[in-house]
Parts: sequence; C-alpha cells; structure tokens
Amino acid sequence: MSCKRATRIISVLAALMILIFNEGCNHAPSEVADVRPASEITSGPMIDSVRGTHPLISVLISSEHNDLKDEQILQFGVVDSDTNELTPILGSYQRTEDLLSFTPSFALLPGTQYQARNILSNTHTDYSFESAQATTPTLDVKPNSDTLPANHLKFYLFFSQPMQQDTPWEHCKLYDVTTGNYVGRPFRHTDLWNPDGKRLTLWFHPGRQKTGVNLNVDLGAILEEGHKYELQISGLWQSLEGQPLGTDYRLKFTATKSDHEQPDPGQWALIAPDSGTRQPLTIEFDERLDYAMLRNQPLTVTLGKTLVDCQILPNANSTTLELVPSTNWTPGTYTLNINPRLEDLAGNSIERPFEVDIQQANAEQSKTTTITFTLDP
Amino acid sequence: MRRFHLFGSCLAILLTTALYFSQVTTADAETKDIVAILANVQEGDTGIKRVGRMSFAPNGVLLVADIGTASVVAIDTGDTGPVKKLKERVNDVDKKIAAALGTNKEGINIADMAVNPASGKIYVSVQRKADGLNAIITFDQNGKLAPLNLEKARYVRVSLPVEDQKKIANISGVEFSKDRVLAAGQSNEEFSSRIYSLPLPLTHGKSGEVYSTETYHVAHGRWETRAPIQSFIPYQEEGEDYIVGSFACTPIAKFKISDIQKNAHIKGTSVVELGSGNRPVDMFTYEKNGKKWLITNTDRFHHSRRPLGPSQYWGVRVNMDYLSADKTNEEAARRVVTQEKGPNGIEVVKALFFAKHVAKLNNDEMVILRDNEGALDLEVSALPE
Repeated sequence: MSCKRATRIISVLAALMILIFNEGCNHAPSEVADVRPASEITSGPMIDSVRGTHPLISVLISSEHNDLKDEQILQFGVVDSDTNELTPILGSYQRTEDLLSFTPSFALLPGTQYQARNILSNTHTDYSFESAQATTPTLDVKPNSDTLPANHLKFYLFFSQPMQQDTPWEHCKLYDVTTGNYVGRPFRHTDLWNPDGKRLTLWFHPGRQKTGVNLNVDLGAILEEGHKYELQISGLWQSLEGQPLGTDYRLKFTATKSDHEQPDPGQWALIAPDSGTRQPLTIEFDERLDYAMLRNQPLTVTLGKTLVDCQILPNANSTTLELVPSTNWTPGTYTLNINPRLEDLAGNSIERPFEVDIQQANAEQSKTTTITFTLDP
Repeated sequence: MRRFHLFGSCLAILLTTALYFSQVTTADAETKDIVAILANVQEGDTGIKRVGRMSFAPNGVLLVADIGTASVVAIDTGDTGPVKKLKERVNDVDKKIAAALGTNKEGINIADMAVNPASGKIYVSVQRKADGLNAIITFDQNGKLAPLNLEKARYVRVSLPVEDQKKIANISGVEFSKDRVLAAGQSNEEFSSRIYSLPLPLTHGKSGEVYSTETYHVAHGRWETRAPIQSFIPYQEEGEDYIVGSFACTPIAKFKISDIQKNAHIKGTSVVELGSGNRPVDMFTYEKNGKKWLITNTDRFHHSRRPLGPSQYWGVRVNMDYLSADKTNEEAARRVVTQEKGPNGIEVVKALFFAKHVAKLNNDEMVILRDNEGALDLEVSALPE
C-alpha cells in the first residue's frame, strides 16, 4: 500500500470520526411545523434546513483558503440589530476540498433571526423558522380558599403546560390589600418544579414563618392576622413554547389566626358505607390538609393483613376524602393506615408540629396514625 | 521519507488509541485511595433534564445534579490535566455563553460553576430559559468557550431512591467524599431536605444502596424544625467524617457522616451564625500558613435595607477551629454583623463582594464568577493569607 493511499484512508477515517463526533454534539431536533430559510440560497452561505433546529451551513472554498481558520471563512450566529455585529454560536466545522460546513452544537430557537456570513465574499444568508402553533397556558392555584392561616406555608401552581422555570418568584407578588403595600420579598428563592415542569411549589419564606429564626425575629411574619391579601401572578410568564399566560392571576384571601396544632386523625369523622356495596367511605378531617400531600399516597386501607384496593378522592378544598373500593366492601374490621407526614396548611404534620419547642415536656408528640372501623354484614 | 510519514501516522494513531484507552481505564479504575469511582459506565446521551449544581471528583469525573430526574450524573470528562489555569479575566461571560447558545444573556440561567483542580478548566452549567435546553460550557486557560458534549459522553447515572424521586425537586449540592458521593435534596412538598450517601463506585442504574437522612435545625436552642441544606462540603475531624452545611437561614452546621442511615433523623450542630438574611451559595476549604479556612459566599436578603458592603453578593472566611467547637446552636459563634472582622477568625473576604459563584482552584487561588454592574466576569483571584 502506497503512502498516499494510506494517508487517504487515514483522512477518510478522520473525517468519519469528525462527522460522528459532530453528530454527537447535536440535539435531536424538536418538532418544527414551518421550516424555511428566510431567503433562498444566494451567493451567501448555503443553508440546508431539512433539520430545522440543526441546519447545515456551507460555503464553497478552494485550496487557496487552506491557511485560513474556519471561523475566518464562515460564521453563524445572532446579529446585534444596533451594531450589526455577529456573535457566533457554538458549533463544529467540517472541511472537505471544496466545502466548509458548520453545524450548531445546540438546537436553534424558533422565532430567532440567525445569520450565516461568508467572510471571504462578504455575503450573508438569514435564517429563521417558526415553531408549531403554540397554545396559551392556563394556571390554577391551590389552596385557593378565602382564608388561610397567618403561618400558611406554600401554594401549588398548576400549569396546563411546561413553563419557563428560571426564577419563578419574579413572576409572583403578594399585595397587602389592608395596608395598600406589596409585601417585601415574601417567597423562598428556591425553584421547586415537578419533573414535567407543570407544577411549581411556591413557598412563603420559611425563615419568616418560623418562630425564633433570625428573619422572623428581624422582619416579622409575612402574613398578619386579619389582613386581606392578594397573591398576584404575572400574565407575562411564558410557557416553554414561548406563549404567555396572557392575564394576571389574582388569588384573594384573608389571613386568620396562626395554626400551630397538628392534624389529629383521632378527631376525624368517618361516614361508613354499607357492606356489599361500593359506596365511598368518607373521611372528614379536623382541618384543611396540604393539597399535594393529600394526593400523594396519604393512606392505605387494610382488612386484616390484606391491602384493599381503593380510589382515593380528596375534595377540592382538602377537607374531606372519599375512598371508593374497586370491589364491594365485605364485612369485617378495616384499618386506615395514615401517612404520618401528612401536613396541614402551616406545615404541622400528624407526626410533629412544624416547629417543636424542645424546652417543653413531650414536645414531640405524634398523633395516632391508624383508624379502625367495622362493617357489619 | 514516505516510510517515515507512514510510520509517523501509525504511531500517532497508536498513541491516540493508547491515550484513549488509558483514560478509560483511569476513569473506571481507582482514585489515589484505591477506590473505584465509576462502574458500568455508559456511552451516549446523558439524558440530563435539568442541569444543576456540580463539583469534581478525582480523575476528571464531573458530578452533576440532574434536578429534572432527581439523580446524580457522573461524567468522565477525560480532563485530567495538567493544570492550565485561566490566564486573564474573561468579561461578559453571561453574554458569551448566551451568544454561544444563540440567545441573549436574559435568556439563560447559570446554575453553577465548577473548576477541575487537575486542569484548571472551568465548567459552567446553564439552562436556556426559552426551551429548557441544558448545557455545560467550559472555559480553557485562554477563556475560550467549548461545549461539554452531554449527548455523547461516558457517564454513570445514579438515581435517588424511588420513594423520594417524586418529592425531590431540587438538589442543592453534590460532593465527592473519600469513599462516597454525597448529595442534598430538597422536597417540593415538605420543608425539609435529605442527605444522600451514594457509595462508590457510582454504578449506573443502581440506587439501592443510597442512604438518606433528614436534617433538622434548632433556632435559639428552642425551636426545632426540619430545615433544608443550601450548600455543603465533606469535612474530616480527628478521623471522623462530617458534612459541613449551610442552612437557608444562615447558620453553618455540621453533621456526622456516620449518622447517615436509612430514615435516620440527624440534627445539625450549629457552629457559626453568619447573620440574618443571607442565602449561602458555595462553600470550600483551604489551608494556608498552617491554618485551615472555610470560605462561603452568600446572597444577602437584607442588602437594600441594611447593606453590608457594596453588593448583595458577599463572602466570608471562617477559621476551621470553629467547626470543632462543642458549643451548639444558641451558643454558636456569631459573626459581628457590624464589622468586617470578628470574632477572631471570622472575616469578610473583600474579594468576594459581587461574587455570584466561587470555586477553589488550589490553596492559593479561587475562581470567581463576578457580577460586574449587571455583566458577569470570570477571574482567578488570590485567597486571603
């Protein structure tokens, strides 16, 4: 094998490696409805837009350009409308004898104007594409009752589609209707999203809601008993598809007395079904419970040692729960096994109060976590 | 001459191949302490859904918190040195990263910064807001940007326990200790956090041996609540392994690692109180002139109302002797909030004003991602004597 041939093979292998590596740099393209170059191929760079979010941009070159660096020939990026300066985006170049190509490392964004520049010929080609028709997201907030305890801890924001997640508290405000002032920095600056990006837990700053913690001592609690408030969520908040909520969301409520009592299953009322039916077993709590936790394995039902398959259906304001069995109730003595971590709106759980005063005797006092009931034949 | 070229090419390929496989072996095999770091290493798309906090383990292994899947992803970067630290300050880092991702600086969120002590290379985890795209961007000694390829990587993914995955919505730290990886997870339903101990080697697809425990905090020696850890580091004292962590409400506390058992409740011992209204961000230790120091930078809640310095972002160093104090909670040393120094061994670090992220390069220098009137600059800065 001649040296020339060996060198060619090595070159081909190297080119293949570069291509494979380059493929790896690319994100899989997301769905794109309308992919189109803003202008047809001109004397400027050629843009292959088959993969809309990952176009292949190319310019013709010749051996006289061998000494030039790739970026001295071809650049692709976003142009500053004021300065006309192009800032290149990250990507990888591939070069053949007569072609220099560029592929972005990351998916391009719909609705953004990009430009490819052939530095040698001082020509350019613009490029943009639109995403599929986006729908307007909607929002629901829980709990959404007229009254909340002054040491209320958190809201759950349910969106109809994944939202832009960064610094969510910047979209939220708390307005004290009674004083006519906005409450200063009321929210915890930790963004706690569900994996699907459709539910955010928005916390009042616990450092101000916890007795004896420095922020509580320095600034006081966030809510004042008797005051009326409005939780405001900006309509400008956008979904990942770039669609804003459109209208501001406002939740009005009045702060009531702080709640330092634990939920106590011993005080819950049961409305038993008839055996031989699939009537629901209704449980009435002694206070409102946390919306999300009540929907996340709050309890199980057993007959002897056998788990009873039940649908668990809390009501909208989390004051009652219905258990609907998959088959008819049979006579016998049942046990409700309650998750000890179930909390009320102020973070007091069945297991322990939100704040335990360790100077008090029997400070940590778990309530009962089982309830039994008997169904007669 | 032609034979020499051919020989040269073959030699280059052989060397490249040897180098590649030697890196593979190194990453899979052992640290200085003969403890394997990674096992069942995968090749391909890391599948990171939401990139978060990062830190380095030995042998160029980058530990990444994937908040979106409640897991830790360990990436064998192959970046094993030698050290080539950043030569000069890089201005407008946020603008450059944003441009590299095809957007403007308002369109990105920088989650964290880590420095590989073996190479000096800087890694920045970032998310593009508009579509949630995740990226890790590296800066070399010349300040040149390059993407860490997350879709064609050698990696291991270790999920946090299944029963916790639905609840853990934030991983506030991931750190290598000598025989394990530690992670702190925050719940989205309870005001609590768990510390997870992931045994070595980190094994892809395995989470059965993950141990977790809850953390508690006592305020003023009286009010005990669950409390989430904001940042932490591993720490050794008299042969005992600890975690030193900061709670969101600013006390620095320590936890004994041997207390980490399934479903255990461990109570932090508050050793230093930095003052009200500071949100700790990063933490590391260094040793200089025979003294050991803890550095932490914070985001000050009270800045507009009661400024401590020129910026809401500031930092402090604490003599590590404070960490071995037996005093706890209300008796913990309290920084004198009206002065730059005091009590002895607790000092404001002026170089950390405006620092949004900081990471240790070595015992003499740190890398700072600094807020510069709305822009972000990257620079190497001397650690205090």
